[in-house]
Amino acid sequence: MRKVIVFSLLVVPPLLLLFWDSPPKEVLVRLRLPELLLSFGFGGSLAAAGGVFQGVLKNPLAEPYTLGSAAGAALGASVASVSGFPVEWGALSGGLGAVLLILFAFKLFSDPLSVLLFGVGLTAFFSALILFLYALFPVYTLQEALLFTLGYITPVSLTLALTLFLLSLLFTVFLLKRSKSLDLLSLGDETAFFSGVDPQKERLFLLVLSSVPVSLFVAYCGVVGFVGIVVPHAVRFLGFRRGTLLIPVSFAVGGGALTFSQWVARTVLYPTVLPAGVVTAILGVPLFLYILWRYTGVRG
Amino acid sequence: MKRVFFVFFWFFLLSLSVFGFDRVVSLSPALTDIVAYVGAGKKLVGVTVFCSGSVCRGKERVGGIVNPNLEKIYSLHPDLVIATTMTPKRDIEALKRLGLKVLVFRLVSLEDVVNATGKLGELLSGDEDEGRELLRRIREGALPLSRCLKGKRVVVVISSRPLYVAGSRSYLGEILTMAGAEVLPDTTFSAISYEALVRLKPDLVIFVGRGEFHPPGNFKVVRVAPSDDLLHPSPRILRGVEEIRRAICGR
Repeated sequence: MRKVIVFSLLVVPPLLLLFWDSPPKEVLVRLRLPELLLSFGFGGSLAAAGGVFQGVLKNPLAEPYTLGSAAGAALGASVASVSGFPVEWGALSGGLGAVLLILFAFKLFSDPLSVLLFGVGLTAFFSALILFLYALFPVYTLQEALLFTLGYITPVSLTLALTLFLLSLLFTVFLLKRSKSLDLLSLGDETAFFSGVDPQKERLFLLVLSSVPVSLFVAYCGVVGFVGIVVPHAVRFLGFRRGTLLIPVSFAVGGGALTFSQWVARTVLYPTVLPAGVVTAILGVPLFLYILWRYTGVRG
Repeated sequence: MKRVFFVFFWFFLLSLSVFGFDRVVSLSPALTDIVAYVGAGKKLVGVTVFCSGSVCRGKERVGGIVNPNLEKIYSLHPDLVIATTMTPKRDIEALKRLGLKVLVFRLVSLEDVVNATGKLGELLSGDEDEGRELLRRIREGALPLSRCLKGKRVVVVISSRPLYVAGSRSYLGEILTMAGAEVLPDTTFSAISYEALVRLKPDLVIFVGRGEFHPPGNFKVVRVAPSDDLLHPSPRILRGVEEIRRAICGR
C-alpha cells in the first residue's frame, strides 16, 4: 500500500504538469520540461535536505526554510545579481554561510526550540535584507524581490534545468552513501561517536552536502517553504525511517509534492501564475501545525 | 551572386518595415493603451488580466504584469511581445529563449511615455510622429491648468497607506510642472513619511488614491477619483489631465 502511495506521488504530478491541457510540442519541450526538472529537482532536494536537517540537528521542525539557510541563499543570490557576480556562487556562499551560523547556534543552545527560533530570526533578517537591497537598487523591481522570497518557478533553458536536476540527483546519491551517519547522529552524538563517527565533522558534512543543491535551486526559483518539513515526516509516517530509505523516498515524494504545487500554481487561476511557494504554504502549513502539535504533545 | 543576395536582403528589410508586426502581445495595460492610441489595437492578440476598456474586448488574457503566463503567450504565436520594466527579467529572458521578439519599455517619466508612443507608432502603424504629436497635445492640455496651479507647491499622493507620492520626475509631476506648479519631492515615485509630507509645506495636495486620507498639517487637499486615465503612464493621461483640471479649477 505505502509503495503504491509513493509511486503515485512520484508519477502523477509530473504527468499532470507535463500533459495537462495537451500542450503543443514546443510548449512541452521548451517550457514544461524545464519547469518539471526544476520543480521536481528543487522539491526533491528540499525534502532530502529536510530529512537530513531533522536527523543531524535532532529537531523535528528543522529544514532549510525554517532555519534560514534557504533565505541565506536567496540573499546571496540577490547580492550577486545586484553586483554582477554569477547568482549560483552568491547563492552557494549565502546558503553555506547560513549553515555555519546554524551550526554555531546548535552548539550555543542545547534546546531544539531555541535553535528553531534562531532560524526564524535568521530568515526574517535575511528576507528583510533582500527587500532592503531591492529598495536600494530600484532597477531590480520590488515585485521581483517579492516573487524571489515567495518561490516563483520560471522556466529556464532545458540545459540549465537538466544540469540542476542531475546535480540534485548526484548530491542525493552522496547523501545516501552517508545515510548510516545520519541514522547514528539522530540517535545522539555519544552513540555516533562510539560507533566510529565524528559527530561534529559528520554533521557539518551532511548539512553542507544537503544545502548545496537547495542553494543552487534557490538562485533560480526563490525560497519555497514547508516541502522540507512536511515531506520527511510524511515519509517516516509511511514507515520509511532509516536513512537508506528516508533520503531517496523523501526525494521522490518531495519532487512530486513541489511539482503538484507548481501545477496548481499555474492552473488554479489560469492564466495568472501564482508563486509555487504560496501553494506549498497553503497546502503545507496545516500539516506543519499538526506536526508541531504532535511534537509538543509528545514532549508534554 | 553577392549583389543578388544584397538586393534580396534589402527587399527583405523593406518588406519588414512596411508590414511591421501583426500579432502583438502586451504585458502592460499602459502599453496596451499606447498601442490603441497609435491605432493598432487590432494587432493586439494578448493582453494582461488587468486590461480594461474597449481595446481589450475579445482579446486573450495572458496573465499579470509581473507573473505572465509564458505558455499562453507562446501559444498565441506573437511576432512581437511588448513589456515594461515591471515584468521580471527572468520572464523576459524565457520569452526570448523561445525565439520571440521582446521589446522592454521603461514607463516612468513623460519622456518615457512619449518615446514609447513614438516607437510603437513607428513599428505598428508606420507613423513616426505619434510621440511628438502626443507631447504637443499634453502641453496643450496642461495649459489651462496653469490658471489654478501657477507657482503653487504641489504634492501628488497616489496612496495614503503607505504614503506613496508621484514626484517631480514622474510623468504626473512633469505634466503639473508644465502647468507652472512646483511639484515636490524631487523623485520619480517613492514612499515617504507623513512627517516628510508636512515638512515639504505644500500649498496643495492632489490625492488620487483609494480610501481615507487625513494628512496632518493644514494644507488644501483635492481629491481626484483614481482612474486608469491618471494612473496609466500612457496617452490616457490626456483625459487624466482634464480630470485634474475639473477637480482643481472647476468648470
